[in-house]
Amino acid sequence: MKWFRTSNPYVLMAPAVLITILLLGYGIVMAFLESIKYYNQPTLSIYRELLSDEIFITSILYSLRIAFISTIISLLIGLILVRSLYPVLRSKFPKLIAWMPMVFPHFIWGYMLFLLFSQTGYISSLLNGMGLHDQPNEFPNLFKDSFGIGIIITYVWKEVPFVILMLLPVYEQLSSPQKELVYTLGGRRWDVFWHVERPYVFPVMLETFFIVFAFVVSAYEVPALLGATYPKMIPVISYDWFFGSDWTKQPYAFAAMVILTLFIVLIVFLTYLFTRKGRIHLAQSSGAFHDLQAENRKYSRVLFFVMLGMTLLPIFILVLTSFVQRWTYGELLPSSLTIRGWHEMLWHGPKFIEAVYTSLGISLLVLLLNLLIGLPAAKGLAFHIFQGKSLVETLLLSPILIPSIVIALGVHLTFIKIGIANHWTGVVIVHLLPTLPYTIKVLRAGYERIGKRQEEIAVSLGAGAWGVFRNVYLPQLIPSIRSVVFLVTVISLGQYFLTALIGGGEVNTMAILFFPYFQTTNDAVIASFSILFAMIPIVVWLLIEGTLRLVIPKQPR
Amino acid sequence: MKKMRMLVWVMLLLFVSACSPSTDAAKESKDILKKDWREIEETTKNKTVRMYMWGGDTGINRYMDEWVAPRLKKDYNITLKRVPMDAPEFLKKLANEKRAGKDAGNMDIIWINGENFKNAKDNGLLYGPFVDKMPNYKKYVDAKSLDIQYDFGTKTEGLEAPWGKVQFVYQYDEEKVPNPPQTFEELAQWVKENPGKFTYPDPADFTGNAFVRQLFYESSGNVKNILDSGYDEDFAQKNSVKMWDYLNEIKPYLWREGKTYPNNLTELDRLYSKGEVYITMGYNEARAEKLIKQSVFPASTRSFVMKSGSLGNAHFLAIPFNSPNKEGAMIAINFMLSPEAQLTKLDSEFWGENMSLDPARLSAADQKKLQTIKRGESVLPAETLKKYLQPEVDSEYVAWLKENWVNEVVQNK
Repeated sequence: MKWFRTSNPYVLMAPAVLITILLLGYGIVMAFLESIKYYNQPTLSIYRELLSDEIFITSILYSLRIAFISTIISLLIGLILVRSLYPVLRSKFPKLIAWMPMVFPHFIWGYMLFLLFSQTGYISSLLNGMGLHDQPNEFPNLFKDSFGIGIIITYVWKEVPFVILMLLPVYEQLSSPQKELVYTLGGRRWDVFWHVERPYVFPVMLETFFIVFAFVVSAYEVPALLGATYPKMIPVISYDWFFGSDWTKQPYAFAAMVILTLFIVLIVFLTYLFTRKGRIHLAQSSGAFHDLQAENRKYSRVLFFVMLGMTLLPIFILVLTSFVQRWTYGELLPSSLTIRGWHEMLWHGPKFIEAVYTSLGISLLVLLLNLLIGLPAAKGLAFHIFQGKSLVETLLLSPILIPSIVIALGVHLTFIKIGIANHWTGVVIVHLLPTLPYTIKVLRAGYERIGKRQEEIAVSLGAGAWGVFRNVYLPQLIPSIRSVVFLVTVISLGQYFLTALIGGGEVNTMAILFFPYFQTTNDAVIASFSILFAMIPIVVWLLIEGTLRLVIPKQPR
Repeated sequence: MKKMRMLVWVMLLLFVSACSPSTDAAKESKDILKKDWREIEETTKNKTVRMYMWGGDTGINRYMDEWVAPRLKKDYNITLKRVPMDAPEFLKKLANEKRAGKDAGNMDIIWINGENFKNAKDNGLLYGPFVDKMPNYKKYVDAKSLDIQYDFGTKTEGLEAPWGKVQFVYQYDEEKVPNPPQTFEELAQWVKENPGKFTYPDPADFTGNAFVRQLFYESSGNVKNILDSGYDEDFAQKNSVKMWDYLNEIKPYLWREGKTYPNNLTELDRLYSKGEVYITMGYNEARAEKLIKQSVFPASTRSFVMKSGSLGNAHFLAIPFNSPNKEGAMIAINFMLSPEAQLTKLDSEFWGENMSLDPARLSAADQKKLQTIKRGESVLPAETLKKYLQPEVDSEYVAWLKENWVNEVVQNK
């Protein structure tokens, strides 16, 4: 475990950087080559065609607008919730509640909201049943509208928990003497926020912004489910080109995604370049002072119950739907119940058990690799200034900025050649792509909060590298590791396309077994599968939570 | 140097994996077609056949897992593994394997038709021709009929064996629509009288495209005209004016005033199930039966076809070029073409879909069995369906209609 001792940032980050380059590099090159049709005569005609196409431009602007609005709203709500709730959210149960929406894949969450808020949804039906309106179309039309309200609502509802996950560790360990100092000097709340919280919170907010923005602008499922016929978001158009019947359109998909990717990566790189100075002082702190005083304690209880309601309402509806056979519009209660959905699921018997084990195994391996590669890389980024840091940061974040269909071709070709396609090893490695950036982000923030002074003291007292890691960093990194466990398992379990392509049908995870059923019309079937699907990450989380209790010397509380 | 060693170790750890042995697959494949059927049967014992197919229907999956797989195991000692995957996805996988020169793949049977078949064939992803090897194909399939020789205008050339046939019908709620329209004019009339109660899926969707395609047939006078001209954009341009006019004329009276459309059939079915619209549609003349049984569709659901015709097509089973068990694939496909398997498939308990076999070639006993199978009240009589059956046209029209619909109908404010 020599890399714990090294202070050379390049060595610390080498595994993460190499794996990212290996996985992404060929994929991106292939995607670009495909988009210029290198096999015929290289030409940029597709780019020219796209950039002068009115539908495409409308679509780009529409996507950017939706992504921007959803991201800003999520960040604001998340920030408000964390600021007022972090003492409450330290406990396991409230934290699980706050994170709960994350265990549902995006489109399932969208589907849940659709069940609730569509014009023939439960709420509209309830209002009708109570005689408050006559026709479904008197209920506001939130889904499949040309402004994308349904898409935005879904993303905000889904991303707020992620924002909480990113910000919570920061607030959990903000130093209270500094706050008191500001108050003593006559500062107001705003001054506390600006001078004490902002330096810690702002960099994380910025990164969270990019992650959420990049995700929303390039994700396919939610707009495909809830979007209008026109305008369509870019990922919907690209997926159609990519998977559509006309294979000659595939280069268009690559070109569209390359344009989008370049745009995002450029912005991220510039931001890192301009904000890098602002961040380094973070790691100079001497570590955390635990402070449990919330800013608005009187509201925190109310806010928590609001959050509880917002999380549980859709889940309650989903559970209910899994038993409903027929619920006619306007009736207060369902006219008939069924266990058919659950029966279908249980009928899967052996296949289902196999899928659970496969999913568990894959997500645990992915998690292990994430920690092995992510811990040193995060430390390197947190504590060192070096040549090309902005570049490395952008590179390490880029797998989540680049839509998976862009790199799928290159990654698949590579994996076939080295013989890990159609095999679980390939799946585990490819799952690093969408997970590793999150791991590094979260752990880096963790290291920055701890600061490197403690290590310096420990070393001067004669601690070895492993001792420093185990006794100084590990206990204090636990909140971050919790977040990593949660995120990585959720993301790994939700991967459908990459698992299907690289696993090639040999690796049957829950996603592979159940995603096809989301094309059925039977809501009971979809609902019971969704619930089951969401249970797995919770089980993993509880398992690891239990293990952590046994392994970790002292709990940081 | 220790650091470097650590690095190498990490990288090795990542890439330790099973290696795939490369075989002289091409030569082997040719030899298979020289074998006689008995030999083929012998070589497949104790082997696995992996079948990649769309997995979104519990009835179809049950038919495969509960009926087909156990019988293949018992009669031929073949383990059938069903892998749920959409055709565009497994074809992407196959195309990448071809590109990377991987001769030993892992898919043995794929379920395709239409443009997926065309793509697979054009890109050399299929093995064969193999259909003439199979006894049940030779005995029961009417290989000369047009819907088996052509798959959406692409010659099948023995690269795929027909698994079933479906026909496009409309479903409606008898209680809400006492007299369903019989022609497109009547439909337009009905739509205007019942604003908001009809829509069709975006033609980017399989079903939505079929709806528009049928209008295109009518718009160009006769399907023969389209078949004769092959794929011809000028022809399409000239003969689609009426169709676009029609679609724009009904647009303001559609669900949500035609400002948006269901993205796919699932969404349209959901609207129908909730009573937002009164008519839905789709391939497979018996598709409503299962949904009625599950109470997704109201019990008063019936179906109708347009007098101007109803599209019908076949769907097929094929063997990928790099299947590791081509013999087993043939045995399994042959079994799925047996009268027993096809008659069971027709039963709406499982799937409820029409046979790909020629009923006239069945034994007297099987013909009797065929007649006793009740397909359900929502299914139109066989004679009616046959009377209005129309063939599919070149699959390139699918893409043409999809793209032009956006310009002609959606953008048309």
